Amino acid sequence: MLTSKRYFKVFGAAVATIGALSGLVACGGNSESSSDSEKSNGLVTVYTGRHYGIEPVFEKFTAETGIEVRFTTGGDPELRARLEAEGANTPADLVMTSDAANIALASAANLLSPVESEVLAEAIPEELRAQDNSWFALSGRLRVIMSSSERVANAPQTYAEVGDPQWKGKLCLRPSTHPYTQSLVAGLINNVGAVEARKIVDSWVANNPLYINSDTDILKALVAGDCDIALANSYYLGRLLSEDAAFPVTLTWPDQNGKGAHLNISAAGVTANAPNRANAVVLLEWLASKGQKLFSDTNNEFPADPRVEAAAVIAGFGSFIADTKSVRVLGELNTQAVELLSAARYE
Amino acid sequence: MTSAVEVRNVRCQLGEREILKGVDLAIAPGELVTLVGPSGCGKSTMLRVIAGLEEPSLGTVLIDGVDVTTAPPEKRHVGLVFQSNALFGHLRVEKNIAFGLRQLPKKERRDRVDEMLDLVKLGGLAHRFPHELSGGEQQRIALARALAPQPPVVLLDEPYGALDEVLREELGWEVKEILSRRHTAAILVTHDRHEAITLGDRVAVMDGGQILQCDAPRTVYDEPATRFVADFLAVSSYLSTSLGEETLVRPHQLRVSAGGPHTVLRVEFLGATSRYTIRTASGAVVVADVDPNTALNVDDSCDVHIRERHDE
Amino acid sequence: MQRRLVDLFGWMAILGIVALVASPILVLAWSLVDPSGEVWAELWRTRLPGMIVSTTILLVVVVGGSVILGTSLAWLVSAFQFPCRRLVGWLLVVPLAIPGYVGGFVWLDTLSGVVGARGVRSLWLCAVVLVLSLYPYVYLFARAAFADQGADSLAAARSLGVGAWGVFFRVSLPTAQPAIAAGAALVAMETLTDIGTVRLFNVSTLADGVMRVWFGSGNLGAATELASALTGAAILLIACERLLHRRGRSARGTSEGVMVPRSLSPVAVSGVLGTVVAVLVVAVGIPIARLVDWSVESIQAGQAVTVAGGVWHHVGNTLLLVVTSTGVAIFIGTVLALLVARKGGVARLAGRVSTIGYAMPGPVVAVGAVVMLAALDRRGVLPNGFFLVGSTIGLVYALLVRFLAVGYQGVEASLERISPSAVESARVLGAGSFRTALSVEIPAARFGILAATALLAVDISKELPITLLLRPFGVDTLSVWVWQSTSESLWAQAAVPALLMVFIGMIAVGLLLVALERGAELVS
Repeated sequence: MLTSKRYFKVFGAAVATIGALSGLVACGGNSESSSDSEKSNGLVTVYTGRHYGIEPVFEKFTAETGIEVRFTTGGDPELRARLEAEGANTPADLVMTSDAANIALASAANLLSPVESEVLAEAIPEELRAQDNSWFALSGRLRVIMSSSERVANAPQTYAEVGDPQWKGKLCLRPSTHPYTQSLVAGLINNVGAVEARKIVDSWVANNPLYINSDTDILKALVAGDCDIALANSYYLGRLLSEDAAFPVTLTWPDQNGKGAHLNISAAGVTANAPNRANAVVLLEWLASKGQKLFSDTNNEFPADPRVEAAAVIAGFGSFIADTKSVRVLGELNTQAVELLSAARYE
Repeated sequence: MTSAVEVRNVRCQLGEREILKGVDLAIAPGELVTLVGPSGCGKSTMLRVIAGLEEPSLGTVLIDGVDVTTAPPEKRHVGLVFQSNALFGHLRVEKNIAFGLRQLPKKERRDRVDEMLDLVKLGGLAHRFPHELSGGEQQRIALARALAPQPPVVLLDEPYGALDEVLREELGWEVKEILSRRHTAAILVTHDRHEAITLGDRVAVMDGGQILQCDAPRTVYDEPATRFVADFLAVSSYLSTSLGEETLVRPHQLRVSAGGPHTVLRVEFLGATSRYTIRTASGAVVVADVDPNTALNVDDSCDVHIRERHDE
Repeated sequence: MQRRLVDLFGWMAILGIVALVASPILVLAWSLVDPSGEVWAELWRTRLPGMIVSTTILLVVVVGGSVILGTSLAWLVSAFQFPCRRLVGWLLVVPLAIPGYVGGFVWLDTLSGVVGARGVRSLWLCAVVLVLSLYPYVYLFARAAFADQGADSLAAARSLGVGAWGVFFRVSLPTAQPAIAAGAALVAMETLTDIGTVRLFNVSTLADGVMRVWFGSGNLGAATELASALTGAAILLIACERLLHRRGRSARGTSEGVMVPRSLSPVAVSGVLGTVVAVLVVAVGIPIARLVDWSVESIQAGQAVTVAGGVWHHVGNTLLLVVTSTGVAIFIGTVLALLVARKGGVARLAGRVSTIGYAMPGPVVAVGAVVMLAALDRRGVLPNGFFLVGSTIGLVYALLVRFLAVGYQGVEASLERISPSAVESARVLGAGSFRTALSVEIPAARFGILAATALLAVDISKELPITLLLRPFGVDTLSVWVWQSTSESLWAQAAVPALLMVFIGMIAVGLLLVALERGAELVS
């Protein structure tokens, strides 16, 4: 079987097949327009780092407006790098992120363009959109104090109290590599200044925290007894509660007598080189209005539009004050936050 | 006198087929026996059974009088030389030769290696790697390696197959000389019948898993036990006598003269003789080696006689 | 004159391939925008020393462990006959087919049940988990080498009084050394660039540092500097491997014959079988059992079926991508290895440079590729408004940049073992370069090529960062599906696609092993 003539044939055949395949598939190369768009009202292309539960939202949009949505998911920084590299050739009309810093960085890199829209101005509070209207929050998630409902009677009430020595060895935190932690610290810096923020972070580190790179696993660790208190995002608890209403974790809104719970956002903005700018604006407006409820509910987040009702599961957490004022600066304070965390030897 | 190697009634099965069907062979110390036969007759298997690489289903193997039938190869004391020479490519020549000498003290090991290199006349190549040597040199090193532990018997499996004809002959004689000088018995497997007859002290002809005959070369040549042996070893012609019997005649035993009932089919010039292939009147084909000056051509008529002993 | 032209062509081809493949990384390095001194100083003071120590320990333990485990297993399976030998030999490769980001979590979860949540997050346990995931690299390469070594030299060794152990240590192992070194090099690179598993165990390595700086400051320049440190380490590793290689030159010698697994006494058989099964249970049984467990959970909850696009869509895309990219990578890898084998010396260095993509963390290669492809798009390389970024060609190219090393390494190790005289004889007999390649070198190196192909298929089907960033719209693969689950810590949901990936990977490996055994049989 393994004679040289045979090899020649097999090798040649393989190369030919591969060549043909590549050619065929390459013809499906990324192009500006899609043939689908001829049948409907057009196309809008989205780069989104917030991918969980996004398909039903886009499907509903298409059903209501007839505009096709073409999207790709990925990590926020990578998508941003791609957008930046593509420049004027980008097919992306809209960018969506799952973190405030990331959308702000995109705006700072001149990848987004301002949108003047009454619908958006009306629906989204001023603090939850860029100063130049280049991005708009669509939903919010808060990083709050979680505690075991079975073992903890008096949970800490502020971020500073999380560093209280009584919680030594009983604290779970997300590592500094994740944007959620970075944005939290950025918020602290904005509210109490760098020196105070450093003290708070130092006190957390002094409590010998268990670093787990997943909010869901942090909550599970709380239940399992590996820690008694933790910092995590509200929507993860929402998710777990909708699967098991008796999930034994209590949510405490931090800093209610102060600046409020740290608010991070899912946000979106129209790209600077959008080929289908008009459709992008339509989508953005829809997400901020008719799509608000679906968008927020699919991920147990709070709608950016305060008039829209939150999902039952998270509404059950009670009313609270959110630190909306820090949202805009989470991006520019990001580097400082990272350095602070690093200096504090927060893992 | 104890045989260097003795094989008694050995049968060997490989998978479904029985390769060796009851083989007996005894080799005296210092004797070189050539084992010859067509492909698939079981010659290599014989060697492997003696070396311990295959287990016989029946029978005994003795080396130097000791029953080694169940002993693993490393416990038998045999040397192996393959057609592929199978030198260890990652070791230098000296390390190759010294491979089986672990139990000797360092000084003795060095001396033995030098001795072996001298024996095969490759003294200066101790530090080379196998891939730096020529085919003939590699084969000689393989022999040196096999001889180094001074085994009573060396098994050679078509060792010259990969070499050119001139080298093959040369090496064949050299090896025979070395082996006999060291009084090491050897079984040389070959499919080359010329080599078998020339080199062997005895020739064992094998077919279908059995040894058909094992005798001195002259005996096997002149008095083959079976027609197969006759045909295999050299060109055979068969003449019917007036009694209806068949006599075996070799080419050199026939005389050809011009004119007669038979026809010349082919003429081959062999140097010292010319080989005539002749069809007899009765339709048989005979081969005769005669003086090249016999001036007969293809399609000529001729006559054929058995040469008397006193003929020139 | 014609000879000169051919020579020149060879050189151009080598340089062309190297340029093609190394440019994204170089492009990244070029785009150093601002001096990142500040971030550097911070990093150096606090994290870098620790990172270097962790990385070094991890490398030593993981490479050492993988070599020992992989080589012993390969030997046991190649040399001895025991029940279910073929099946076991195939199953031992499973860990390779499990995506690291899932496998790592499976182990974390399982082990934390044993040593607790804090105890489990340790450097040593991370190293153990990596060994259990990466040993198949060495195992596969060693098996290819053992299959290829002539049975004659083993028989000769035994006739010279050397028992089974002696044969292994004094003949088989030295002969297989280049292949083992090649496998070890791959393990080293995987360890160096791993981000998922080390993060799970809270181990901070250099690769992790690169990602931190990048994520943390959006400072691509600093990230690239760190990445260069990484590459420096990789080059050092490669240099070491080269030195080892020199010793193993032409180690195969001139032996022929196929290695037939030896039968053993019942006691020995149970010993061997027991050992191998023990490894199987731990390295394969535990992860697969948990994945199956989670899959069942996920299917019962109705999740797997409702993945966007459907299960078959993802499977189909994965298969298409794997087949195309593997084909391209093995083809170019073989061509490059052949060219380098001819030229030797400096060409070999160039060959090494082409493997740079493997020494970088996946996300870095992804971004580098995007940057380069986008630059080409600006020059309008493709007509009619088609763009490389987001096209299949672009994706296949980026995968080539990343994985050429796998194809090249494996083939190169095999080619090295061909005796020069074989090639020379062919040339003297009038065969041109092309014919010699086809009729002498490629057949002789077939085991290495096959091993490399199987590895490529497995690696590409598991690959994530590049696929995620560069895939055409709607072309979601199994790894994308896994990511969408794991990035939200929905581990149960990741189990179904992970198992499908394992399935695909195992088929590729199964084909390889069948070919190994067949090829071995045919040689006799």
